[in-house]
Amino acid sequence: MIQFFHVHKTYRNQPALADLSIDIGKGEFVFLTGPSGAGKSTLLKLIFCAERAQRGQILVSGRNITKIRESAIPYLRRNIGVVFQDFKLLPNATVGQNVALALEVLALPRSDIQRRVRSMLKAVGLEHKADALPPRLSGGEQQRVAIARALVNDPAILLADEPTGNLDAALTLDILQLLSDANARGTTVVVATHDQAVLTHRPRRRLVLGSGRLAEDHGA
Amino acid sequence: MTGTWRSRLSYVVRRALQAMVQGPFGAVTITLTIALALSAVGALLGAGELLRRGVDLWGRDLTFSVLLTDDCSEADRGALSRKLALAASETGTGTGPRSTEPRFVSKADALRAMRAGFGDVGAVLDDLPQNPLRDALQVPAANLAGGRLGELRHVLAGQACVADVDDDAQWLAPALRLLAALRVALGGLFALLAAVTLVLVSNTAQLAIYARRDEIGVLKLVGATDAFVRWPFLLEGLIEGLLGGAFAGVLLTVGFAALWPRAVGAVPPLGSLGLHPFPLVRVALGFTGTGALLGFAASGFSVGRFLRV
Repeated sequence: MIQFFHVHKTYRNQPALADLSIDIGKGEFVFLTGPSGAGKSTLLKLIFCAERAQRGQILVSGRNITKIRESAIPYLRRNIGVVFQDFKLLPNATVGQNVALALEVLALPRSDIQRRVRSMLKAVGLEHKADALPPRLSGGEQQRVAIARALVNDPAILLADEPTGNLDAALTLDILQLLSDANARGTTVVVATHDQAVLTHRPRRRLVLGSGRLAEDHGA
Repeated sequence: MTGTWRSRLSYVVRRALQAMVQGPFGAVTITLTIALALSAVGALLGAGELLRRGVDLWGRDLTFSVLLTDDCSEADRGALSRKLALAASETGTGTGPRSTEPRFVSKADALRAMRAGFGDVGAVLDDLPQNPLRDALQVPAANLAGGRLGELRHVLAGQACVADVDDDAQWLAPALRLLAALRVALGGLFALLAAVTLVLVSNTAQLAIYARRDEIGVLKLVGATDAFVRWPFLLEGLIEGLLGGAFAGVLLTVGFAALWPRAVGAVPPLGSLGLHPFPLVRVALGFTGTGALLGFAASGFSVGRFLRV
Protein backbone atom coordinates (compact mmCIF):
# COMPACT_ATOMS: atom_id res chain seq x y z
CA MET A 1 0.00 0.00 0.00
CA ILE A 2 2.82 2.40 0.95
CA GLN A 3 6.36 1.72 -0.22
CA PHE A 4 9.47 3.88 0.17
CA PHE A 5 12.57 3.01 -1.87
CA HIS A 6 15.82 4.70 -0.84
CA VAL A 7 14.06 7.98 -0.14
CA HIS A 8 16.09 11.08 0.72
CA LYS A 9 14.70 14.34 2.01
CA THR A 10 16.72 17.27 3.31
CA TYR A 11 15.76 20.65 4.69
CA ARG A 12 18.43 23.32 4.15
CA ASN A 13 21.18 20.68 3.90
CA GLN A 14 19.93 18.94 7.05
CA PRO A 15 18.87 15.37 6.21
CA ALA A 16 15.36 14.59 7.46
CA LEU A 17 15.19 11.20 5.77
CA ALA A 18 18.24 9.37 4.47
CA ASP A 19 18.02 6.34 2.22
CA LEU A 20 14.78 5.25 3.85
CA SER A 21 13.07 2.13 2.55
CA ILE A 22 9.87 0.79 4.12
CA ASP A 23 6.88 -1.25 3.04
CA ILE A 24 3.45 -0.93 4.68
CA GLY A 25 0.88 -3.41 3.49
CA LYS A 26 -2.78 -2.86 2.75
CA GLY A 27 -4.92 -2.91 5.89
CA GLU A 28 -1.96 -2.66 8.25
CA PHE A 29 -1.91 -0.57 11.44
CA VAL A 30 1.60 0.82 11.90
CA PHE A 31 3.11 3.02 14.58
CA LEU A 32 5.86 5.26 13.38
CA THR A 33 8.05 6.19 16.28
CA GLY A 34 11.38 7.67 17.22
CA PRO A 35 12.75 10.77 18.91
CA SER A 36 11.83 14.31 17.88
CA GLY A 37 13.50 15.14 14.58
CA ALA A 38 13.74 11.48 13.57
CA GLY A 39 11.71 12.19 10.43
CA LYS A 40 8.26 10.86 11.41
CA SER A 41 6.31 13.93 10.31
CA THR A 42 8.41 14.27 7.16
CA LEU A 43 7.58 10.70 6.23
CA LEU A 44 3.86 11.37 6.61
CA LYS A 45 4.11 14.63 4.64
CA LEU A 46 5.80 12.77 1.80
CA ILE A 47 2.90 10.30 1.67
CA PHE A 48 0.26 13.00 1.21
CA CYS A 49 2.54 15.14 -0.97
CA ALA A 50 2.84 18.10 1.38
CA GLU A 51 6.57 17.64 0.73
CA ARG A 52 8.50 16.16 -2.17
CA ALA A 53 11.40 13.71 -1.87
CA GLN A 54 14.72 14.78 -3.38
CA ARG A 55 15.71 11.20 -4.25
CA GLY A 56 14.17 7.75 -4.22
CA GLN A 57 10.71 6.49 -5.12
CA ILE A 58 7.47 6.40 -3.15
CA LEU A 59 4.56 4.23 -4.18
CA VAL A 60 1.13 4.83 -2.69
CA SER A 61 -1.57 2.38 -3.77
CA GLY A 62 0.77 1.33 -6.57
CA ARG A 63 1.22 4.88 -7.88
CA ASN A 64 4.64 6.51 -7.95
CA ILE A 65 3.95 9.81 -6.21
CA THR A 66 7.46 11.21 -6.62
CA LYS A 67 6.51 11.85 -10.23
CA ILE A 68 2.96 13.00 -9.59
CA ARG A 69 1.82 16.27 -11.22
CA GLU A 70 0.76 19.13 -8.91
CA SER A 71 -2.72 19.05 -10.41
CA ALA A 72 -3.12 15.36 -9.50
CA ILE A 73 -2.27 15.82 -5.81
CA PRO A 74 -5.82 16.77 -4.73
CA TYR A 75 -7.14 13.51 -6.17
CA LEU A 76 -4.46 11.52 -4.32
CA ARG A 77 -5.36 13.29 -1.07
CA ARG A 78 -9.00 12.31 -1.41
CA ASN A 79 -7.86 8.75 -0.70
CA ILE A 80 -5.79 9.74 2.30
CA GLY A 81 -7.23 11.00 5.58
CA VAL A 82 -4.87 13.04 7.73
CA VAL A 83 -5.14 13.82 11.43
CA PHE A 84 -2.88 16.31 13.21
CA GLN A 85 -1.96 16.95 16.79
CA ASP A 86 -3.41 20.47 16.53
CA PHE A 87 -6.60 19.15 14.86
CA LYS A 88 -6.61 21.78 12.07
CA LEU A 89 -10.32 22.48 12.38
CA LEU A 90 -11.95 25.65 11.08
CA PRO A 91 -12.97 27.60 14.18
CA ASN A 92 -15.81 29.49 12.46
CA ALA A 93 -17.36 26.42 10.89
CA THR A 94 -19.57 24.07 12.89
CA VAL A 95 -18.52 20.50 13.65
CA GLY A 96 -20.83 19.29 10.89
CA GLN A 97 -19.40 21.77 8.38
CA ASN A 98 -15.83 20.79 9.30
CA VAL A 99 -16.55 17.12 8.70
CA ALA A 100 -18.48 17.92 5.52
CA LEU A 101 -15.45 19.67 3.96
CA ALA A 102 -13.94 16.36 2.89
CA LEU A 103 -17.17 15.55 1.05
CA GLU A 104 -17.76 19.04 -0.36
CA VAL A 105 -14.59 18.72 -2.43
CA LEU A 106 -16.07 15.58 -3.99
CA ALA A 107 -19.09 17.66 -5.07
CA LEU A 108 -21.54 15.16 -3.64
CA PRO A 109 -25.22 16.09 -3.44
CA ARG A 110 -26.08 18.02 -0.30
CA SER A 111 -28.40 15.33 1.01
CA ASP A 112 -25.66 12.70 0.65
CA ILE A 113 -23.20 14.92 2.46
CA GLN A 114 -25.59 15.51 5.35
CA ARG A 115 -26.39 11.82 5.66
CA ARG A 116 -22.74 10.75 5.68
CA VAL A 117 -21.70 13.50 8.09
CA ARG A 118 -24.45 12.48 10.52
CA SER A 119 -23.41 8.86 10.28
CA MET A 120 -19.72 9.69 10.81
CA LEU A 121 -20.41 11.95 13.76
CA LYS A 122 -22.47 9.19 15.27
CA ALA A 123 -19.55 6.79 14.81
CA VAL A 124 -17.23 9.10 16.77
CA GLY A 125 -19.90 9.85 19.39
CA LEU A 126 -20.44 13.50 18.48
CA GLU A 127 -23.82 13.43 16.78
CA HIS A 128 -25.21 15.83 19.35
CA LYS A 129 -22.41 18.35 18.70
CA ALA A 130 -22.98 18.76 14.97
CA ASP A 131 -23.92 22.43 15.30
CA ALA A 132 -21.26 23.35 17.85
CA LEU A 133 -18.20 25.39 16.96
CA PRO A 134 -14.84 23.63 17.55
CA PRO A 135 -13.48 26.13 20.11
CA ARG A 136 -16.40 25.14 22.38
CA LEU A 137 -15.33 21.49 22.37
CA SER A 138 -12.76 19.73 24.56
CA GLY A 139 -9.44 18.63 23.08
CA GLY A 140 -10.60 15.04 22.84
CA GLU A 141 -13.81 16.05 21.10
CA GLN A 142 -11.91 18.24 18.65
CA GLN A 143 -9.62 15.34 17.80
CA ARG A 144 -12.64 13.14 17.24
CA VAL A 145 -14.01 15.75 14.83
CA ALA A 146 -10.67 15.75 13.01
CA ILE A 147 -10.78 11.95 12.78
CA ALA A 148 -14.37 12.08 11.55
CA ARG A 149 -13.31 14.52 8.82
CA ALA A 150 -10.38 12.28 7.88
CA LEU A 151 -12.57 9.18 7.65
CA VAL A 152 -15.85 10.50 6.30
CA ASN A 153 -14.96 9.82 2.67
CA ASP A 154 -13.73 6.28 3.40
CA PRO A 155 -10.07 6.85 2.53
CA ALA A 156 -7.80 3.90 1.82
CA ILE A 157 -5.14 5.34 4.10
CA LEU A 158 -5.34 7.23 7.38
CA LEU A 159 -2.27 9.15 8.54
CA ALA A 160 -2.15 10.53 12.07
CA ASP A 161 0.66 12.79 13.25
CA GLU A 162 0.86 12.70 17.06
CA PRO A 163 -2.93 12.48 17.29
CA THR A 164 -2.87 12.06 21.07
CA GLY A 165 -0.15 14.57 21.80
CA ASN A 166 -2.49 17.04 23.51
CA LEU A 167 -4.76 14.53 25.21
CA ASP A 168 -4.84 12.83 28.58
CA ALA A 169 -4.60 9.07 28.99
CA ALA A 170 -8.34 8.32 28.89
CA LEU A 171 -8.90 10.44 25.78
CA THR A 172 -5.83 8.89 24.17
CA LEU A 173 -7.42 5.46 24.46
CA ASP A 174 -10.63 6.83 22.95
CA ILE A 175 -8.77 8.16 19.95
CA LEU A 176 -6.75 4.95 19.50
CA GLN A 177 -9.98 3.00 19.57
CA LEU A 178 -11.39 5.14 16.75
CA LEU A 179 -8.24 4.57 14.71
CA SER A 180 -8.42 0.82 15.39
CA ASP A 181 -12.08 0.80 14.32
CA ALA A 182 -11.13 2.45 11.03
CA ASN A 183 -8.38 -0.12 10.58
CA ALA A 184 -10.85 -2.91 11.28
CA ARG A 185 -12.98 -1.57 8.41
CA GLY A 186 -10.00 -2.01 6.07
CA THR A 187 -8.26 1.36 6.23
CA THR A 188 -4.47 1.30 6.36
CA VAL A 189 -3.49 3.34 9.41
CA VAL A 190 -0.10 4.98 10.03
CA VAL A 191 0.29 6.76 13.36
CA ALA A 192 3.37 8.84 14.13
CA THR A 193 3.89 9.06 17.89
CA HIS A 194 6.58 9.13 20.48
CA ASP A 195 4.11 8.42 23.28
CA GLN A 196 5.39 5.21 24.87
CA ALA A 197 2.06 4.65 26.63
CA VAL A 198 0.34 4.42 23.27
CA LEU A 199 2.92 2.01 21.93
CA THR A 200 2.72 -0.35 24.89
CA HIS A 201 -1.04 -0.22 25.13
CA ARG A 202 -1.65 -1.19 21.52
CA PRO A 203 0.82 -3.80 20.36
CA ARG A 204 1.12 -3.20 16.63
CA ARG A 205 3.86 -3.10 14.07
CA ARG A 206 6.35 -0.42 15.00
CA LEU A 207 8.71 1.33 12.62
CA VAL A 208 11.38 3.11 14.64
CA LEU A 209 13.11 5.99 12.91
CA GLY A 210 16.42 7.49 13.99
CA SER A 211 18.18 10.34 12.21
CA GLY A 212 16.02 9.84 9.16
CA ARG A 213 16.75 6.15 8.80
CA LEU A 214 14.77 3.05 9.68
CA ALA A 215 16.40 1.93 12.91
CA GLU A 216 14.06 -0.92 13.81
CA ASP A 217 11.01 -2.67 12.42
CA HIS A 218 9.06 -4.54 15.07
CA GLY A 219 6.24 -6.70 13.79
CA ALA A 220 3.04 -6.85 15.86
CA MET B 1 -26.61 21.30 -15.14
CA THR B 2 -25.35 18.02 -13.63
CA GLY B 3 -25.66 17.25 -9.96
CA THR B 4 -21.92 17.66 -9.57
CA TRP B 5 -21.94 21.15 -10.98
CA ARG B 6 -25.02 22.07 -8.98
CA SER B 7 -23.27 20.87 -5.81
CA ARG B 8 -20.10 22.81 -6.67
CA LEU B 9 -22.02 25.99 -7.47
CA SER B 10 -24.05 25.62 -4.33
CA TYR B 11 -20.85 25.26 -2.28
CA VAL B 12 -19.18 28.26 -3.95
CA VAL B 13 -22.18 30.55 -3.39
CA ARG B 14 -22.77 29.32 0.16
CA ARG B 15 -19.11 29.64 1.12
CA ALA B 16 -18.72 33.11 -0.41
CA LEU B 17 -21.77 34.45 1.41
CA GLN B 18 -20.76 32.74 4.66
CA ALA B 19 -17.30 34.28 4.47
CA MET B 20 -18.77 37.75 3.96
CA VAL B 21 -21.04 37.32 6.96
CA GLN B 22 -18.28 35.83 9.14
CA GLY B 23 -15.67 38.40 8.11
CA PRO B 24 -17.68 41.59 7.61
CA PHE B 25 -14.70 43.87 8.23
CA GLY B 26 -12.81 42.63 5.19
CA ALA B 27 -15.93 42.61 3.04
CA VAL B 28 -16.91 46.16 4.04
CA THR B 29 -13.35 47.45 3.62
CA ILE B 30 -13.03 46.03 0.11
CA THR B 31 -16.49 47.28 -0.86
CA LEU B 32 -15.77 50.79 0.43
CA THR B 33 -12.31 50.91 -1.16
CA ILE B 34 -13.80 50.04 -4.53
CA ALA B 35 -16.69 52.46 -4.01
CA LEU B 36 -14.43 55.38 -3.11
CA ALA B 37 -11.93 54.69 -5.87
CA LEU B 38 -14.64 54.40 -8.49
CA SER B 39 -16.35 57.53 -7.17
CA ALA B 40 -13.09 59.43 -7.62
CA VAL B 41 -12.67 58.02 -11.12
CA GLY B 42 -16.30 58.80 -11.90
CA ALA B 43 -15.98 62.36 -10.62
CA LEU B 44 -12.92 62.84 -12.83
CA LEU B 45 -14.73 61.43 -15.85
CA GLY B 46 -17.78 63.57 -15.09
CA ALA B 47 -15.65 66.71 -14.80
CA GLY B 48 -13.94 65.85 -18.09
CA GLU B 49 -17.30 65.31 -19.78
CA LEU B 50 -18.66 68.63 -18.51
CA LEU B 51 -15.54 70.40 -19.74
CA ARG B 52 -15.84 68.78 -23.16
CA ARG B 53 -19.48 69.79 -23.45
CA GLY B 54 -18.68 73.31 -22.30
CA VAL B 55 -16.02 73.78 -24.98
CA ASP B 56 -18.28 72.14 -27.57
CA LEU B 57 -21.16 74.46 -26.72
CA TRP B 58 -18.91 77.51 -26.73
CA GLY B 59 -17.48 76.41 -30.08
CA ARG B 60 -20.96 76.25 -31.60
CA ASP B 61 -21.65 79.87 -30.69
CA LEU B 62 -18.42 81.17 -32.17
CA THR B 63 -18.68 82.75 -35.58
CA PHE B 64 -16.46 83.72 -38.46
CA SER B 65 -17.71 87.26 -39.24
CA VAL B 66 -16.99 89.38 -42.24
CA LEU B 67 -17.69 93.00 -41.26
CA LEU B 68 -19.04 95.03 -44.13
CA THR B 69 -18.30 98.60 -45.14
CA ASP B 70 -21.16 101.08 -44.82
CA ASP B 71 -21.24 101.66 -48.58
CA CYS B 72 -21.64 97.98 -49.47
CA SER B 73 -24.43 97.49 -52.01
CA GLU B 74 -26.85 94.57 -51.81
CA ALA B 75 -25.37 93.11 -55.02
CA ASP B 76 -21.81 93.28 -53.67
CA ARG B 77 -22.99 91.75 -50.42
CA GLY B 78 -24.67 88.90 -52.32
CA ALA B 79 -21.49 88.23 -54.29
CA LEU B 80 -19.43 88.23 -51.14
CA SER B 81 -21.91 85.91 -49.43
CA ARG B 82 -21.61 83.40 -52.27
CA LYS B 83 -17.80 83.52 -52.09
CA LEU B 84 -17.94 82.98 -48.35
CA ALA B 85 -20.36 80.06 -48.73
CA LEU B 86 -18.08 78.47 -51.32
CA ALA B 87 -15.04 78.93 -49.11
CA ALA B 88 -16.92 77.46 -46.16
CA SER B 89 -18.03 74.42 -48.16
CA GLU B 90 -14.44 73.86 -49.37
CA THR B 91 -12.86 74.23 -45.98
CA GLY B 92 -15.72 72.76 -43.94
CA THR B 93 -14.82 70.06 -41.44
CA GLY B 94 -18.10 68.26 -41.88
CA THR B 95 -18.60 68.30 -38.13
CA GLY B 96 -20.26 71.70 -38.04
CA PRO B 97 -23.79 71.89 -36.74
CA ARG B 98 -25.40 74.04 -39.44
CA SER B 99 -25.33 74.82 -43.16
CA THR B 100 -22.45 76.81 -44.60
CA GLU B 101 -24.82 79.52 -45.94
CA PRO B 102 -23.65 82.81 -44.39
CA ARG B 103 -26.14 84.68 -42.28
CA PHE B 104 -26.55 88.41 -42.70
CA VAL B 105 -26.65 90.33 -39.44
CA SER B 106 -27.48 93.99 -39.76
CA LYS B 107 -25.76 96.44 -37.46
CA ALA B 108 -29.13 97.21 -35.87
CA ASP B 109 -29.65 93.52 -35.08
CA ALA B 110 -26.11 93.31 -33.76
CA LEU B 111 -26.70 96.24 -31.43
CA ARG B 112 -29.98 94.71 -30.21
CA ALA B 113 -28.20 91.42 -29.52
CA MET B 114 -25.45 93.25 -27.67
CA ARG B 115 -28.01 95.17 -25.63
CA ALA B 116 -29.74 91.92 -24.68
CA GLY B 117 -26.41 90.30 -23.85
CA PHE B 118 -25.54 93.11 -21.41
CA GLY B 119 -28.73 92.41 -19.46
CA ASP B 120 -29.70 95.11 -16.98
CA VAL B 121 -26.91 97.46 -18.02
CA GLY B 122 -27.78 97.15 -21.71
CA ALA B 123 -29.78 100.38 -21.52
CA VAL B 124 -26.57 102.41 -21.58
CA LEU B 125 -26.30 101.54 -25.27
CA ASP B 126 -29.48 103.55 -25.92
CA ASP B 127 -27.51 106.72 -25.21
CA LEU B 128 -25.04 106.16 -28.04
CA PRO B 129 -25.24 109.01 -30.63
CA GLN B 130 -24.93 106.45 -33.44
CA ASN B 131 -24.60 102.70 -33.91
CA PRO B 132 -20.84 101.98 -33.93
CA LEU B 133 -21.25 98.43 -35.20
CA ARG B 134 -21.17 97.16 -38.78
CA ASP B 135 -23.36 94.92 -40.87
CA ALA B 136 -21.84 91.47 -41.07
CA LEU B 137 -21.94 88.10 -42.80
CA GLN B 138 -21.49 85.26 -40.31
CA VAL B 139 -20.63 81.58 -40.64
CA PRO B 140 -20.42 79.26 -37.60
CA ALA B 141 -16.71 78.88 -36.85
CA ALA B 142 -17.19 75.18 -36.25
CA ASN B 143 -18.06 74.85 -39.95
CA LEU B 144 -14.62 76.01 -41.00
CA ALA B 145 -11.38 74.06 -40.79
CA GLY B 146 -8.97 75.77 -38.42
CA GLY B 147 -5.90 75.22 -40.63
CA ARG B 148 -7.26 77.25 -43.56
CA LEU B 149 -8.92 80.06 -41.68
CA GLY B 150 -5.85 82.25 -41.88
CA GLU B 151 -5.77 81.82 -45.64
CA LEU B 152 -9.49 82.61 -45.92
CA ARG B 153 -9.10 85.69 -43.76
CA HIS B 154 -6.27 86.90 -46.02
CA VAL B 155 -8.29 86.34 -49.21
CA LEU B 156 -11.38 88.07 -47.87
CA ALA B 157 -9.49 91.07 -46.53
CA GLY B 158 -8.82 92.33 -50.07
CA GLN B 159 -12.40 91.99 -51.31
CA ALA B 160 -14.78 94.83 -52.00
CA CYS B 161 -17.22 95.55 -49.12
CA VAL B 162 -14.96 93.96 -46.53
CA ALA B 163 -14.08 96.34 -43.71
CA ASP B 164 -12.60 93.67 -41.43
CA VAL B 165 -12.68 89.96 -40.64
CA ASP B 166 -13.46 88.85 -37.11
CA ASP B 167 -12.55 85.28 -36.41
CA ASP B 168 -13.79 84.01 -33.00
CA ALA B 169 -12.35 80.60 -33.83
CA GLN B 170 -8.86 81.86 -33.13
CA TRP B 171 -9.89 81.51 -29.47
CA LEU B 172 -11.32 78.04 -29.99
CA ALA B 173 -8.12 76.41 -31.19
CA PRO B 174 -6.14 77.06 -27.98
CA ALA B 175 -9.17 75.96 -25.95
CA LEU B 176 -9.33 72.72 -27.92
CA ARG B 177 -5.60 72.19 -27.43
CA LEU B 178 -6.05 72.80 -23.71
CA LEU B 179 -8.94 70.35 -23.68
CA ALA B 180 -6.84 67.74 -25.47
CA ALA B 181 -4.05 68.22 -22.94
CA LEU B 182 -6.56 67.98 -20.11
CA ARG B 183 -7.90 64.77 -21.60
CA VAL B 184 -4.42 63.27 -21.67
CA ALA B 185 -3.87 64.37 -18.08
CA LEU B 186 -7.25 62.93 -17.05
CA GLY B 187 -6.42 59.69 -18.87
CA GLY B 188 -3.11 59.48 -17.01
CA LEU B 189 -4.81 60.23 -13.71
CA PHE B 190 -7.45 57.62 -14.50
CA ALA B 191 -4.78 54.99 -15.22
CA LEU B 192 -2.89 55.91 -12.06
CA LEU B 193 -6.05 55.79 -9.96
CA ALA B 194 -7.04 52.45 -11.49
CA ALA B 195 -3.60 51.00 -10.70
CA VAL B 196 -3.65 52.39 -7.14
CA THR B 197 -7.17 51.02 -6.67
CA LEU B 198 -6.14 47.58 -7.90
CA VAL B 199 -3.16 47.56 -5.53
CA LEU B 200 -5.29 48.83 -2.62
CA VAL B 201 -8.10 46.36 -3.20
CA SER B 202 -5.63 43.57 -3.84
CA ASN B 203 -3.80 44.30 -0.59
CA THR B 204 -7.04 44.49 1.36
CA ALA B 205 -8.19 41.24 -0.21
CA GLN B 206 -4.82 39.72 0.63
CA LEU B 207 -5.23 40.68 4.28
CA ALA B 208 -8.72 39.16 4.33
CA ILE B 209 -7.47 36.00 2.63
CA TYR B 210 -4.38 35.83 4.85
CA ALA B 211 -6.73 35.63 7.83
CA ARG B 212 -8.27 32.58 6.17
CA ARG B 213 -5.04 30.83 5.14
CA ASP B 214 -5.74 28.01 7.62
CA GLU B 215 -9.02 27.36 5.87
CA ILE B 216 -7.21 27.16 2.54
CA GLY B 217 -4.68 24.75 4.10
CA VAL B 218 -7.44 22.50 5.43
CA LEU B 219 -9.27 22.52 2.10
CA LYS B 220 -6.10 21.53 0.27
CA LEU B 221 -5.50 18.85 2.87
CA VAL B 222 -8.84 17.18 2.22
CA GLY B 223 -8.24 17.14 -1.51
CA ALA B 224 -9.62 20.43 -2.80
CA THR B 225 -8.33 21.51 -6.18
CA ASP B 226 -7.02 25.05 -6.65
CA ALA B 227 -10.18 25.95 -8.54
CA PHE B 228 -12.35 24.65 -5.73
CA VAL B 229 -10.46 26.82 -3.21
CA ARG B 230 -10.29 29.82 -5.50
CA TRP B 231 -13.89 30.18 -6.67
CA PRO B 232 -15.55 31.17 -3.37
CA PHE B 233 -12.90 33.89 -2.97
CA LEU B 234 -13.44 35.07 -6.54
CA LEU B 235 -17.20 35.16 -6.09
CA GLU B 236 -16.77 37.05 -2.84
CA GLY B 237 -14.56 39.60 -4.61
CA LEU B 238 -17.08 39.80 -7.43
CA ILE B 239 -19.97 40.46 -5.04
CA GLU B 240 -17.98 43.04 -3.06
CA GLY B 241 -16.94 44.70 -6.32
CA LEU B 242 -20.53 44.75 -7.55
CA LEU B 243 -21.69 46.34 -4.32
CA GLY B 244 -18.79 48.82 -4.35
CA GLY B 245 -19.46 49.75 -7.97
CA ALA B 246 -23.18 50.15 -7.38
CA PHE B 247 -22.46 52.24 -4.28
CA ALA B 248 -20.11 54.47 -6.31
CA GLY B 249 -22.81 54.87 -8.96
CA VAL B 250 -25.41 55.86 -6.39
CA LEU B 251 -22.94 58.19 -4.66
CA LEU B 252 -22.11 60.01 -7.89
CA THR B 253 -25.69 60.22 -9.09
CA VAL B 254 -26.98 61.49 -5.75
CA GLY B 255 -23.97 63.77 -5.35
CA PHE B 256 -24.49 65.24 -8.80
CA ALA B 257 -28.22 65.67 -8.24
CA ALA B 258 -27.51 67.50 -4.97
CA LEU B 259 -24.61 69.71 -6.13
CA TRP B 260 -25.38 70.47 -9.76
CA PRO B 261 -28.40 72.74 -9.18
CA ARG B 262 -26.31 74.77 -6.75
CA ALA B 263 -23.48 75.02 -9.26
CA VAL B 264 -25.94 76.15 -11.96
CA GLY B 265 -27.42 78.64 -9.49
CA ALA B 266 -23.97 80.10 -8.90
CA VAL B 267 -22.82 79.98 -12.55
CA PRO B 268 -25.97 80.12 -14.78
CA PRO B 269 -24.20 79.32 -18.11
CA LEU B 270 -23.51 75.83 -16.70
CA GLY B 271 -27.24 75.15 -17.12
CA SER B 272 -26.89 75.22 -20.87
CA LEU B 273 -24.47 72.27 -20.78
CA GLY B 274 -27.54 70.10 -21.08
CA LEU B 275 -27.54 66.43 -20.28
CA HIS B 276 -26.79 64.81 -16.98
CA PRO B 277 -23.18 63.61 -17.19
CA PHE B 278 -24.01 60.44 -15.22
CA PRO B 279 -26.90 58.72 -17.00
CA LEU B 280 -28.27 56.17 -14.56
CA VAL B 281 -28.24 53.11 -16.80
CA ARG B 282 -24.67 53.72 -17.94
CA VAL B 283 -23.60 54.35 -14.37
CA ALA B 284 -25.35 51.22 -13.15
CA LEU B 285 -23.77 49.03 -15.80
CA GLY B 286 -20.40 50.72 -16.04
CA PHE B 287 -19.64 51.14 -12.38
CA THR B 288 -21.02 47.83 -11.13
CA GLY B 289 -19.27 46.06 -14.00
CA THR B 290 -15.96 47.78 -13.33
CA GLY B 291 -16.31 47.21 -9.60
CA ALA B 292 -17.07 43.54 -10.12
CA LEU B 293 -14.09 43.14 -12.41
CA LEU B 294 -11.88 44.93 -9.91
CA GLY B 295 -13.00 42.79 -6.97
CA PHE B 296 -12.72 39.62 -9.03
CA ALA B 297 -9.21 40.47 -10.26
CA ALA B 298 -7.98 41.56 -6.83
CA SER B 299 -9.27 38.38 -5.17
CA GLY B 300 -7.79 36.28 -7.96
CA PHE B 301 -4.35 37.84 -7.54
CA SER B 302 -4.48 37.51 -3.78
CA VAL B 303 -5.76 33.98 -3.32
CA GLY B 304 -3.20 32.56 -5.75
CA ARG B 305 -0.44 33.31 -3.27
CA PHE B 306 -1.92 31.02 -0.62
CA LEU B 307 -2.67 28.02 -2.77
CA ARG B 308 0.67 26.24 -2.44
CA VAL B 309 0.07 23.96 0.54
